Amino acid sequence: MNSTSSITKRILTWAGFIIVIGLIIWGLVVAENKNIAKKAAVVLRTPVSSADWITGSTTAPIAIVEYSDFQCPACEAYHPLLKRLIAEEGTRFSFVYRHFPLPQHKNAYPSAIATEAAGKQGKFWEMHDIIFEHQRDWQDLEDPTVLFTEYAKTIGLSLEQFSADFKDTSGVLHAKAEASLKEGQKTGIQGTPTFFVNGKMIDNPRSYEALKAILENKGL
Amino acid sequence: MKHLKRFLKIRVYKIPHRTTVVLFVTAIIGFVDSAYLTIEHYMNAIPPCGVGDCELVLTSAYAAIGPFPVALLGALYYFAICGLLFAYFDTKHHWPLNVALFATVIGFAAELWFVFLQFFVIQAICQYCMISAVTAIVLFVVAMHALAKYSSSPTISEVL
Repeated sequence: MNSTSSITKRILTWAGFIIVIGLIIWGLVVAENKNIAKKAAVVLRTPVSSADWITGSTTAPIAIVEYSDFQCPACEAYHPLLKRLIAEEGTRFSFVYRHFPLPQHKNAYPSAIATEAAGKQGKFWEMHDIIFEHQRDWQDLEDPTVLFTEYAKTIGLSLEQFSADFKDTSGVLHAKAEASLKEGQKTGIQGTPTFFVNGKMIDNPRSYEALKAILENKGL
Repeated sequence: MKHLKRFLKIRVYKIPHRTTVVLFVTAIIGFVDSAYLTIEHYMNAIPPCGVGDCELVLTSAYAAIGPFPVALLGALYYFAICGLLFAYFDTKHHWPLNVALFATVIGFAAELWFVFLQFFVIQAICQYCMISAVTAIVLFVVAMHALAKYSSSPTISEVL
Protein backbone atom coordinates (compact mmCIF):
# COMPACT_ATOMS: atom_id res chain seq x y z
CA MET A 1 0.00 0.00 0.00
CA ASN A 2 2.77 2.32 1.07
CA SER A 3 4.76 1.44 -2.02
CA THR A 4 1.75 2.15 -4.29
CA SER A 5 1.07 5.50 -2.68
CA SER A 6 4.73 6.46 -2.92
CA ILE A 7 4.77 5.57 -6.65
CA THR A 8 1.55 7.55 -7.16
CA LYS A 9 3.07 10.48 -5.29
CA ARG A 10 6.19 10.32 -7.45
CA ILE A 11 4.18 10.12 -10.68
CA LEU A 12 2.11 13.12 -9.58
CA THR A 13 5.23 15.09 -8.63
CA TRP A 14 6.84 14.50 -12.02
CA ALA A 15 3.59 15.11 -13.85
CA GLY A 16 3.44 18.46 -12.02
CA PHE A 17 6.99 19.27 -13.14
CA ILE A 18 6.24 18.40 -16.78
CA ILE A 19 2.96 20.36 -16.65
CA VAL A 20 4.76 23.45 -15.30
CA ILE A 21 7.38 23.22 -18.08
CA GLY A 22 4.59 22.71 -20.62
CA LEU A 23 2.70 25.72 -19.24
CA ILE A 24 5.83 27.87 -19.57
CA ILE A 25 6.21 26.88 -23.24
CA TRP A 26 2.49 27.33 -23.91
CA GLY A 27 2.55 30.76 -22.20
CA LEU A 28 5.49 31.86 -24.37
CA VAL A 29 3.74 30.72 -27.56
CA VAL A 30 0.51 32.52 -26.55
CA ALA A 31 2.48 35.68 -25.67
CA GLU A 32 4.26 35.60 -29.03
CA ASN A 33 1.00 35.11 -30.92
CA LYS A 34 -0.47 38.08 -29.04
CA ASN A 35 2.63 40.10 -29.91
CA ILE A 36 2.22 39.25 -33.61
CA ALA A 37 -1.47 40.20 -33.47
CA LYS A 38 -0.61 43.43 -31.63
CA LYS A 39 1.95 44.30 -34.29
CA ALA A 40 -0.47 43.52 -37.11
CA ALA A 41 -2.90 45.95 -35.45
CA VAL A 42 -0.38 48.78 -35.85
CA VAL A 43 -1.11 50.46 -39.14
CA LEU A 44 0.70 53.09 -41.15
CA ARG A 45 -0.61 56.54 -40.33
CA THR A 46 0.61 58.05 -43.57
CA PRO A 47 -0.19 56.07 -46.71
CA VAL A 48 2.46 55.65 -49.38
CA SER A 49 2.51 58.68 -51.63
CA SER A 50 4.61 60.30 -54.33
CA ALA A 51 6.48 62.11 -51.56
CA ASP A 52 8.00 58.76 -50.51
CA TRP A 53 11.13 57.12 -51.89
CA ILE A 54 9.72 54.18 -53.81
CA THR A 55 11.42 51.46 -55.81
CA GLY A 56 10.03 48.36 -57.49
CA SER A 57 6.61 48.52 -59.07
CA THR A 58 4.47 51.49 -58.01
CA THR A 59 1.34 49.81 -59.41
CA ALA A 60 1.81 46.42 -57.68
CA PRO A 61 -0.80 45.46 -55.06
CA ILE A 62 1.86 44.72 -52.44
CA ALA A 63 3.80 47.50 -50.75
CA ILE A 64 6.55 47.11 -48.18
CA VAL A 65 7.38 50.18 -46.11
CA GLU A 66 10.54 50.14 -44.05
CA TYR A 67 11.27 52.60 -41.27
CA SER A 68 15.03 52.43 -41.07
CA ASP A 69 18.18 54.00 -39.72
CA PHE A 70 21.32 53.93 -41.88
CA GLN A 71 23.56 53.42 -38.83
CA CYS A 72 21.52 50.58 -37.35
CA PRO A 73 23.43 47.28 -37.84
CA ALA A 74 20.20 45.29 -38.13
CA CYS A 75 18.98 47.60 -40.91
CA GLU A 76 22.29 47.03 -42.65
CA ALA A 77 21.78 43.28 -42.24
CA TYR A 78 18.36 43.50 -43.92
CA HIS A 79 19.72 45.60 -46.79
CA PRO A 80 21.06 42.67 -48.92
CA LEU A 81 17.85 40.70 -48.32
CA LEU A 82 15.73 43.56 -49.59
CA LYS A 83 18.06 44.23 -52.52
CA ARG A 84 17.80 40.59 -53.53
CA LEU A 85 14.02 40.65 -53.21
CA ILE A 86 13.80 43.81 -55.31
CA ALA A 87 16.12 42.27 -57.93
CA GLU A 88 14.10 39.05 -58.08
CA GLU A 89 10.53 40.20 -57.50
CA GLY A 90 10.70 43.97 -57.93
CA THR A 91 8.05 44.01 -60.62
CA ARG A 92 5.50 42.53 -58.24
CA PHE A 93 5.76 44.81 -55.21
CA SER A 94 6.84 48.29 -54.24
CA PHE A 95 9.40 49.08 -51.60
CA VAL A 96 9.33 52.33 -49.67
CA TYR A 97 12.13 53.64 -47.48
CA ARG A 98 11.32 56.02 -44.62
CA HIS A 99 13.84 57.59 -42.28
CA PHE A 100 13.81 56.75 -38.59
CA PRO A 101 17.26 57.89 -37.38
CA LEU A 102 17.69 56.78 -33.78
CA PRO A 103 19.20 59.33 -31.40
CA GLN A 104 21.82 56.87 -30.09
CA HIS A 105 23.34 56.63 -33.59
CA LYS A 106 25.21 59.89 -34.00
CA ASN A 107 25.69 59.59 -37.77
CA ALA A 108 22.25 58.24 -38.57
CA TYR A 109 20.73 61.66 -39.09
CA PRO A 110 23.57 63.03 -41.31
CA SER A 111 23.38 59.85 -43.40
CA ALA A 112 19.63 60.35 -43.85
CA ILE A 113 20.32 63.91 -45.02
CA ALA A 114 23.04 62.64 -47.40
CA THR A 115 20.52 60.30 -49.06
CA GLU A 116 17.96 63.10 -49.28
CA ALA A 117 20.61 65.36 -50.85
CA ALA A 118 21.39 62.62 -53.38
CA GLY A 119 17.66 62.16 -53.94
CA LYS A 120 17.43 65.80 -54.96
CA GLN A 121 19.66 64.84 -57.86
CA GLY A 122 17.65 61.70 -58.57
CA LYS A 123 20.04 59.26 -56.93
CA PHE A 124 18.46 58.48 -53.56
CA TRP A 125 18.67 54.70 -54.01
CA GLU A 126 22.28 54.78 -55.19
CA MET A 127 23.26 56.74 -52.06
CA HIS A 128 21.01 54.51 -49.91
CA ASP A 129 22.93 51.44 -51.16
CA ILE A 130 26.43 52.84 -50.87
CA ILE A 131 25.78 54.20 -47.38
CA PHE A 132 24.48 50.84 -46.14
CA GLU A 133 27.28 48.92 -47.84
CA HIS A 134 29.94 51.07 -46.15
CA GLN A 135 28.23 51.46 -42.80
CA ARG A 136 31.23 50.24 -40.82
CA ASP A 137 33.47 52.85 -42.48
CA TRP A 138 31.49 55.90 -41.36
CA GLN A 139 29.47 54.87 -38.32
CA ASP A 140 32.10 55.89 -35.77
CA LEU A 141 33.47 58.96 -37.53
CA GLU A 142 33.34 62.28 -35.74
CA ASP A 143 32.28 63.91 -39.01
CA PRO A 144 31.24 61.66 -41.93
CA THR A 145 30.95 64.58 -44.40
CA VAL A 146 34.17 63.79 -46.28
CA LEU A 147 33.21 60.16 -46.77
CA PHE A 148 29.65 61.00 -47.79
CA THR A 149 31.05 63.49 -50.34
CA GLU A 150 33.27 60.71 -51.69
CA TYR A 151 30.19 58.50 -52.06
CA ALA A 152 28.45 61.37 -53.86
CA LYS A 153 31.39 61.49 -56.26
CA THR A 154 31.31 57.70 -56.75
CA ILE A 155 27.64 57.69 -57.73
CA GLY A 156 28.13 60.66 -60.04
CA LEU A 157 26.47 63.54 -58.21
CA SER A 158 27.23 67.20 -58.69
CA LEU A 159 29.46 67.71 -55.67
CA GLU A 160 28.79 71.40 -55.44
CA GLN A 161 25.05 70.88 -55.21
CA PHE A 162 25.41 67.87 -52.90
CA SER A 163 27.57 69.84 -50.47
CA ALA A 164 25.21 72.79 -50.50
CA ASP A 165 22.17 70.57 -49.85
CA PHE A 166 23.93 68.46 -47.25
CA LYS A 167 25.06 71.51 -45.28
CA ASP A 168 21.77 73.39 -45.50
CA THR A 169 20.49 72.70 -41.99
CA SER A 170 17.37 74.80 -42.36
CA GLY A 171 16.26 73.32 -45.65
CA VAL A 172 13.52 71.07 -46.86
CA LEU A 173 15.68 67.93 -46.60
CA HIS A 174 15.90 68.22 -42.83
CA ALA A 175 12.20 68.92 -42.62
CA LYS A 176 11.52 65.75 -44.62
CA ALA A 177 13.76 63.53 -42.45
CA GLU A 178 12.33 65.01 -39.25
CA ALA A 179 8.76 64.59 -40.47
CA SER A 180 9.44 60.94 -41.26
CA LEU A 181 10.88 60.39 -37.77
CA LYS A 182 7.93 62.11 -36.07
CA GLU A 183 5.44 60.19 -38.16
CA GLY A 184 7.17 56.93 -37.22
CA GLN A 185 7.04 57.84 -33.54
CA LYS A 186 3.32 58.65 -33.78
CA THR A 187 2.73 55.34 -35.54
CA GLY A 188 4.27 53.56 -32.56
CA ILE A 189 7.56 52.42 -33.97
CA GLN A 190 9.88 51.26 -31.20
CA GLY A 191 13.02 50.35 -33.10
CA THR A 192 14.57 49.79 -36.47
CA PRO A 193 14.06 48.28 -38.87
CA THR A 194 10.26 48.18 -38.71
CA PHE A 195 8.40 46.82 -41.71
CA PHE A 196 4.84 47.32 -42.87
CA VAL A 197 3.30 45.14 -45.54
CA ASN A 198 0.24 46.71 -47.14
CA GLY A 199 0.02 49.13 -44.25
CA LYS A 200 0.22 46.56 -41.44
CA MET A 201 3.24 46.15 -39.20
CA ILE A 202 4.90 42.71 -39.39
CA ASP A 203 7.31 40.83 -37.16
CA ASN A 204 10.79 41.23 -38.59
CA PRO A 205 11.45 38.17 -40.74
CA ARG A 206 14.44 36.04 -39.82
CA SER A 207 15.64 35.24 -43.31
CA TYR A 208 15.16 35.97 -46.99
CA GLU A 209 12.89 32.94 -47.27
CA ALA A 210 10.78 34.14 -44.33
CA LEU A 211 10.49 37.60 -45.87
CA LYS A 212 9.45 36.11 -49.20
CA ALA A 213 6.94 33.81 -47.48
CA ILE A 214 5.24 36.84 -45.90
CA LEU A 215 4.84 38.40 -49.34
CA GLU A 216 3.69 35.13 -50.88
CA ASN A 217 0.93 35.02 -48.27
CA LYS A 218 -0.17 38.39 -49.61
CA GLY A 219 -0.31 36.97 -53.12
CA LEU A 220 3.18 37.69 -54.45
CA MET B 1 33.61 3.26 -16.20
CA LYS B 2 35.38 3.10 -12.86
CA HIS B 3 35.79 6.88 -12.87
CA LEU B 4 32.15 7.37 -13.81
CA LYS B 5 31.00 5.20 -10.93
CA ARG B 6 33.29 7.08 -8.58
CA PHE B 7 32.00 10.40 -9.88
CA LEU B 8 28.37 9.41 -9.44
CA LYS B 9 29.10 8.38 -5.86
CA ILE B 10 30.53 11.75 -4.89
CA ARG B 11 28.40 13.06 -2.11
CA VAL B 12 27.79 16.75 -1.82
CA TYR B 13 27.27 16.71 1.91
CA LYS B 14 25.06 19.18 3.64
CA ILE B 15 24.58 21.31 0.57
CA PRO B 16 22.15 23.93 1.82
CA HIS B 17 18.66 23.65 0.41
CA ARG B 18 18.78 27.32 -0.60
CA THR B 19 21.82 26.62 -2.83
CA THR B 20 19.96 23.98 -4.80
CA VAL B 21 16.90 26.26 -4.94
CA VAL B 22 19.09 29.08 -6.34
CA LEU B 23 20.40 26.66 -8.97
CA PHE B 24 16.88 25.49 -9.83
CA VAL B 25 15.44 29.03 -10.11
CA THR B 26 18.42 30.18 -12.21
CA ALA B 27 17.99 27.19 -14.53
CA ILE B 28 14.27 27.98 -14.87
CA ILE B 29 15.14 31.59 -15.85
CA GLY B 30 17.65 30.28 -18.39
CA PHE B 31 15.05 27.84 -19.70
CA VAL B 32 12.37 30.53 -20.14
CA ASP B 33 14.88 32.78 -21.93
CA SER B 34 16.13 30.05 -24.29
CA ALA B 35 12.65 28.62 -24.87
CA TYR B 36 11.45 32.10 -25.83
CA LEU B 37 14.26 32.46 -28.39
CA THR B 38 13.55 28.97 -29.71
CA ILE B 39 9.85 29.79 -30.18
CA GLU B 40 10.80 33.05 -31.92
CA HIS B 41 13.12 31.08 -34.19
CA TYR B 42 10.47 28.56 -35.24
CA MET B 43 7.88 31.33 -35.68
CA ASN B 44 10.36 33.13 -37.94
CA ALA B 45 10.31 36.20 -35.74
CA ILE B 46 12.86 38.43 -34.08
CA PRO B 47 12.14 39.42 -30.48
CA PRO B 48 11.94 43.11 -29.58
CA CYS B 49 15.40 44.33 -28.65
CA GLY B 50 15.78 47.22 -26.22
CA VAL B 51 19.55 46.84 -25.88
CA GLY B 52 21.97 45.77 -28.60
CA ASP B 53 21.11 44.32 -31.97
CA CYS B 54 19.22 41.07 -31.63
CA GLU B 55 18.56 40.83 -35.37
CA LEU B 56 22.24 40.71 -36.19
CA VAL B 57 23.01 38.04 -33.62
CA LEU B 58 19.93 35.90 -34.11
CA THR B 59 20.19 35.87 -37.89
CA SER B 60 23.97 35.33 -37.94
CA ALA B 61 25.57 32.10 -39.11
CA TYR B 62 26.37 31.32 -35.46
CA ALA B 63 22.73 31.27 -34.35
CA ALA B 64 22.30 27.66 -35.46
CA ILE B 65 24.37 24.50 -35.44
CA GLY B 66 23.25 22.52 -38.45
CA PRO B 67 19.46 22.42 -38.42
CA PHE B 68 19.25 23.25 -34.71
CA PRO B 69 19.03 26.79 -33.39
CA VAL B 70 21.52 27.40 -30.59
CA ALA B 71 18.57 28.59 -28.48
CA LEU B 72 17.02 25.11 -28.69
CA LEU B 73 20.26 23.53 -27.45
CA GLY B 74 20.24 26.10 -24.63
CA ALA B 75 16.64 25.28 -23.75
CA LEU B 76 17.47 21.55 -23.65
CA TYR B 77 20.50 22.24 -21.46
CA TYR B 78 18.50 24.28 -18.95
CA PHE B 79 15.66 21.75 -19.07
CA ALA B 80 18.16 18.98 -18.26
CA ILE B 81 19.56 20.97 -15.32
CA CYS B 82 16.02 21.63 -14.02
CA GLY B 83 15.10 17.96 -14.44
CA LEU B 84 18.21 16.73 -12.65
CA LEU B 85 17.72 19.14 -9.75
CA PHE B 86 14.06 18.19 -9.56
CA ALA B 87 15.10 14.52 -9.46
CA TYR B 88 17.44 15.36 -6.57
CA PHE B 89 14.66 17.18 -4.70
CA ASP B 90 12.37 14.21 -5.30
CA THR B 91 14.68 11.27 -4.59
CA LYS B 92 17.50 12.82 -2.53
CA HIS B 93 19.87 10.64 -4.57
CA HIS B 94 23.23 12.28 -5.12
CA TRP B 95 23.89 11.33 -8.72
CA PRO B 96 21.40 13.72 -10.39
CA LEU B 97 22.80 16.56 -8.29
CA ASN B 98 26.37 15.60 -9.23
CA VAL B 99 25.53 15.43 -12.92
CA ALA B 100 23.74 18.81 -12.72
CA LEU B 101 26.66 20.45 -10.89
CA PHE B 102 29.27 19.16 -13.33
CA ALA B 103 27.07 19.85 -16.38
CA THR B 104 27.22 23.55 -15.55
CA VAL B 105 30.79 23.45 -16.92
CA ILE B 106 29.38 22.65 -20.38
CA GLY B 107 26.92 25.55 -20.22
CA PHE B 108 29.61 27.90 -18.94
CA ALA B 109 32.08 26.95 -21.71
CA ALA B 110 29.39 27.27 -24.39
CA GLU B 111 28.37 30.70 -23.10
CA LEU B 112 31.99 31.91 -23.04
CA TRP B 113 32.19 30.99 -26.71
CA PHE B 114 28.92 32.74 -27.56
CA VAL B 115 29.86 35.90 -25.66
CA PHE B 116 33.19 35.90 -27.52
CA LEU B 117 31.34 35.55 -30.84
CA GLN B 118 29.01 38.42 -29.98
CA PHE B 119 31.74 40.81 -28.90
CA PHE B 120 34.50 40.00 -31.36
CA VAL B 121 33.06 38.26 -34.42
CA ILE B 122 29.47 39.45 -34.91
CA GLN B 123 30.23 42.69 -33.06
CA ALA B 124 26.68 42.97 -31.82
CA ILE B 125 24.94 42.08 -28.59
CA CYS B 126 21.69 40.24 -28.13
CA GLN B 127 20.14 40.98 -24.74
CA TYR B 128 18.45 37.56 -24.55
CA CYS B 129 21.76 35.82 -25.24
CA MET B 130 23.36 37.91 -22.51
CA ILE B 131 20.63 36.87 -20.05
CA SER B 132 21.47 33.26 -20.90
CA ALA B 133 25.16 34.02 -20.40
CA VAL B 134 24.43 35.43 -16.93
CA THR B 135 22.32 32.42 -15.92
CA ALA B 136 25.01 30.00 -17.18
CA ILE B 137 27.71 31.89 -15.25
CA VAL B 138 25.59 31.98 -12.08
CA LEU B 139 24.93 28.23 -12.38
CA PHE B 140 28.63 27.53 -12.91
CA VAL B 141 29.84 29.72 -10.03
CA VAL B 142 27.24 28.42 -7.56
CA ALA B 143 27.85 24.81 -8.66
CA MET B 144 31.64 25.07 -8.36
CA HIS B 145 31.30 26.77 -5.00
CA ALA B 146 28.99 23.97 -3.83
CA LEU B 147 31.39 21.30 -5.09
CA ALA B 148 34.37 22.96 -3.45
CA LYS B 149 32.65 23.59 -0.15
CA TYR B 150 30.39 20.60 0.32
CA SER B 151 31.88 17.64 -1.54
CA SER B 152 34.65 16.85 0.95
CA SER B 153 34.41 13.67 3.02
CA PRO B 154 32.06 13.97 5.92
CA THR B 155 33.22 13.84 9.48
CA ILE B 156 31.99 10.97 11.66
CA SER B 157 29.71 13.32 13.54
CA GLU B 158 28.20 14.49 10.24
CA VAL B 159 27.54 10.94 9.16
CA LEU B 160 26.06 10.03 12.52
